[in-house]
Amino acid sequence: MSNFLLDFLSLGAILSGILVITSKNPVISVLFLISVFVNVAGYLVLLGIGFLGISYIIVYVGAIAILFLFVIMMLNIQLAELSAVGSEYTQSLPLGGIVGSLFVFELISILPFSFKGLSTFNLSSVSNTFSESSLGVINWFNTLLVSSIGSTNDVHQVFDAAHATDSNFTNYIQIESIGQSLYTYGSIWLLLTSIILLLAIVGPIALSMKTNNTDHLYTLYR
Amino acid sequence: MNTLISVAESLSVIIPILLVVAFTTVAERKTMASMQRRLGPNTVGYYGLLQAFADALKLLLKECVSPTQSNLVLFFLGPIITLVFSLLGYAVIPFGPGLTVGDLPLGILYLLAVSSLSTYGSLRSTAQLISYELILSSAILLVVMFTGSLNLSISVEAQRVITFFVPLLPVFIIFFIGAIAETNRAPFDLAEAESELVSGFMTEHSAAIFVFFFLAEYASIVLICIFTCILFLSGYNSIFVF
Repeated sequence: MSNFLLDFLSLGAILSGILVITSKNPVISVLFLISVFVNVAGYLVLLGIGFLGISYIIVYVGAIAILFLFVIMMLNIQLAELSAVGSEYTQSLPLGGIVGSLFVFELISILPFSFKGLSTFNLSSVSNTFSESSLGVINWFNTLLVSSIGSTNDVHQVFDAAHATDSNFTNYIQIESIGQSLYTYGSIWLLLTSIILLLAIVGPIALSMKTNNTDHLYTLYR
Repeated sequence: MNTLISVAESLSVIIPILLVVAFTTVAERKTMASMQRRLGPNTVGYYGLLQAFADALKLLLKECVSPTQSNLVLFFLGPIITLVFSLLGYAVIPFGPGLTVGDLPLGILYLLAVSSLSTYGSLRSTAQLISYELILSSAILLVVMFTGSLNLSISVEAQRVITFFVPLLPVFIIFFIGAIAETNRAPFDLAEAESELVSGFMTEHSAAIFVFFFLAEYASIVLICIFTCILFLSGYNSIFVF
């Protein structure tokens, strides 16, 4: 059952992404952007990382998309200026084609297209991670196009030794495991990102503060 | 068969919630009336209890009017989004030991995500909602530090020792005030503006769409009250508090 839901979510994300750039009304664009975020969040939840999916919704949909809506509200966009027709519309297609083909090239060079000959104890390889997710129609189509596998029955679900119950010592929920590694092994990165966030909070206030007096230092400490 | 059971589970939560919402509106009108020294609705049923159903019937049979210059898709989508995400929050509420529609290990995060999504129904109340969400999340974080888990059933069971209302009374007061702001009730009901406009941002929606806004508002009020009870007043075990 989760096979079909994965397909719907990925197709929905792709369709919403296309409709973000091709819709005329900017508010409708933001709504389709929200739809992209929700679809991707659902995909992440189905992959097993529920915390990341829900935090996508809280951060992206709850904060960033609202920021976009506020900006659009205050920009006073005239809808008649926005609709591009004819040569104005097609003159940016070659650039889009170049950037898109670069992206596709990057993806093809990373994703594995054949699942034969995977070792079961290669815990840190990309191919092991991808073999554990359920295959949907898009992946089936991929394997048909670029590999020698005839049907999805040939693909083996790799048994991961990390999930075996006889070697499982503790059971962390997701937030506990993220916290355990983030606050010990990744503590320096955590401190760095907190400094960047502090800069992001203080920076705009300092940049946009208006001072009326010419005596700048005196007004700061008044 | 499994889908049938899932649908029956969801319906057995949604239909009582809608009935609770209906009777909450009557209770609010009777309470406000007694504060103003008059009787509230007292004609329709015994003591006016069926007033909500009369209102719903009237609203469903009204003519559906929409402004000519409005974007019809967005006009109809707003109330629908608000109602759907208000009702989605009831999926993680424990009504008894183990009696939830979905017992998520990240239940509190799911409630925060659903409340983030439901702000798109009405942008005017959003600025208030976002500013008070920070306070609500901080208060929730304190309770999560007490229980050590984001699961709502564990949050109820952890209060067998002591109800969190007793050690965390100031946090309860802060959470309560934040909850009133989050649902646009008095004294934070500037977004609805009942004294200036007829009903704030809901004025131009009519008939069935207005019912959605109405249901969504009271459903989110009931949801926040249930959430407060689960976090601070020990949920379904609260019979021992009294």
